[in-house]
Amino acid sequence: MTRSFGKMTVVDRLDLSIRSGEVFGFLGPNGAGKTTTVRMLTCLIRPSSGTAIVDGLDVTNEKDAMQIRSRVGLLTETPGLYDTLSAYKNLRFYGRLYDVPEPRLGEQIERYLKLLDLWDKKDQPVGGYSKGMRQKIAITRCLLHDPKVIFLDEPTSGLDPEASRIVRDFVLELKKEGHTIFLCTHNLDEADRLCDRIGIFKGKLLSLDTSAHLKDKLYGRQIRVQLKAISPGLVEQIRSLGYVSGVEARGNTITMNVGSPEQDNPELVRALVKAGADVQFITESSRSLEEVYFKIMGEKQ
Amino acid sequence: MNLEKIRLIVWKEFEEIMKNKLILGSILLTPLIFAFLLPTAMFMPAILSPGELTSNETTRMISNLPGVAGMSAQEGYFAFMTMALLPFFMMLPAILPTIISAYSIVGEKKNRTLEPLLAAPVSVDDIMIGKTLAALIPALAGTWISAAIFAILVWAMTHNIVHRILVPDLTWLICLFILGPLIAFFGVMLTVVISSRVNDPRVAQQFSIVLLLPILAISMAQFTGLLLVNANMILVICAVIAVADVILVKIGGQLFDREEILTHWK
Repeated sequence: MTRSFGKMTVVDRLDLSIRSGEVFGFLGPNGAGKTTTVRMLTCLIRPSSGTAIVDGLDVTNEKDAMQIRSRVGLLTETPGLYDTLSAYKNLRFYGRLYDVPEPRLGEQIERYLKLLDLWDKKDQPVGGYSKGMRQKIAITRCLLHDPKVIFLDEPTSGLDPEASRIVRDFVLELKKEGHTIFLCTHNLDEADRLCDRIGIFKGKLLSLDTSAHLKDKLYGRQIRVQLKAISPGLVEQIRSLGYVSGVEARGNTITMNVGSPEQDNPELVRALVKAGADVQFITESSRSLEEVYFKIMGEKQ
Repeated sequence: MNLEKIRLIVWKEFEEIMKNKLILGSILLTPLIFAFLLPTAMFMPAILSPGELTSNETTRMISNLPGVAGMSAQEGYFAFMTMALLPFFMMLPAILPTIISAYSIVGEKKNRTLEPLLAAPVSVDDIMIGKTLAALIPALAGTWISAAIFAILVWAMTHNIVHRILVPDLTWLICLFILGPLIAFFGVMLTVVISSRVNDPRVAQQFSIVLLLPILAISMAQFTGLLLVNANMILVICAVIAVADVILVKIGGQLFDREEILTHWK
């Protein structure tokens, strides 16, 4: 799909496939076109060219668009609740707009409000709710009709750590129930924890893979070896080994990348011992998704 | 068109109106002030001191107007007043729907509640019809109730003097049931058009107040005797406003579109 506004192309030939039951993380800076993508996938705006199939339906087909809207759940960037109405009335209004029949609607509202610890406050106007409580109600709103596909646009943005954790646990619960989740986020740690695959996006899809594969592809697998002492010439000896790269020494610790720690570590330990080094610890150090993200963003700029 | 979804939207709007003291106060108080204040202020003095009328400049001017010839000073005054006050009751369908629809549309835009609504399986036409009805129903109900109270009070004050029902006559009925709804609809559509460019409901209301100017002009012309409205003239005005309504529906329909709202509304 491509989407332009005037001469500016916001989403440029986005081409990806998301598997059923997958939590897909869509990462990118502000203004990258994430919300525009979500709006195209939820039939709020039309692509300038190309199309997307959501749950077997074409987003550019006017007849399919209404079906898609009724089958997907969308958590917008802002909760968008009616402040003067109670949580119960907000949810009831949307449940009925989504054609959830009675008594199923009442059961769904009760189930989610109890799960999110808001049942006792259901009759209070949402204008008096905290940001976290409002976000919980907004999440509940997009789940009332039991959608197969859920789009979450920055679900933990502006929430305190406790509320963020509740929302993250909730996303994991939804994943267990088999929902397909499209998660737009700035929170790289959250994406790392929740998502099966990650797409890094800035107008174009820059990278697409699992978090582990993205790290491996960019950095290889890094190991850290702590020695009793580093003798002169030891670092050069290690650099000369064919299966290691990126050797760096700091204090008594040497870090390096290897293709496969399972195969290469025994070789490495033998080489170190032969060179007279006393090995104290050998561990695999993991790169964060944040490092991956900034490396990809830096390379593309 | 999905009547159930339109009904849901109308009902949700009503629930929000009931919680908004400013809107609720405007809808309830303005019609009541018109209904009670106008007959008390304009008819009572003529009933309590009929002698004042014979020496009054206004009464002398009234006696020269067409349709008043042959009536007593008091009767002529009452007949003139019932027509002169009619434009006031056309201000209600101009004011009330714009107050409601400004909060209903610009309010949703300001509070960012439009996107979840547009993401729901409901057509934009149904949303617009729902919001239009939610503005029209209370506004027209307010206008009609206000006019009914006015008519009862006028009858109670004048029936011993004129021995006939002054309000409503044919002109009043055309105004209340044809012109009023057309003006109210115009007000709502004007608010939809304005809503695409403003972010504060009060600003939308101020723009919509422009609608009052022609009504005020007719009102002034009535009072000065420059212009006397009659049923034929009202029907011509109705036709003009109906054409304006159709034009505004076309413009409003283009502006109240999912894509337009999310990408171009400022």
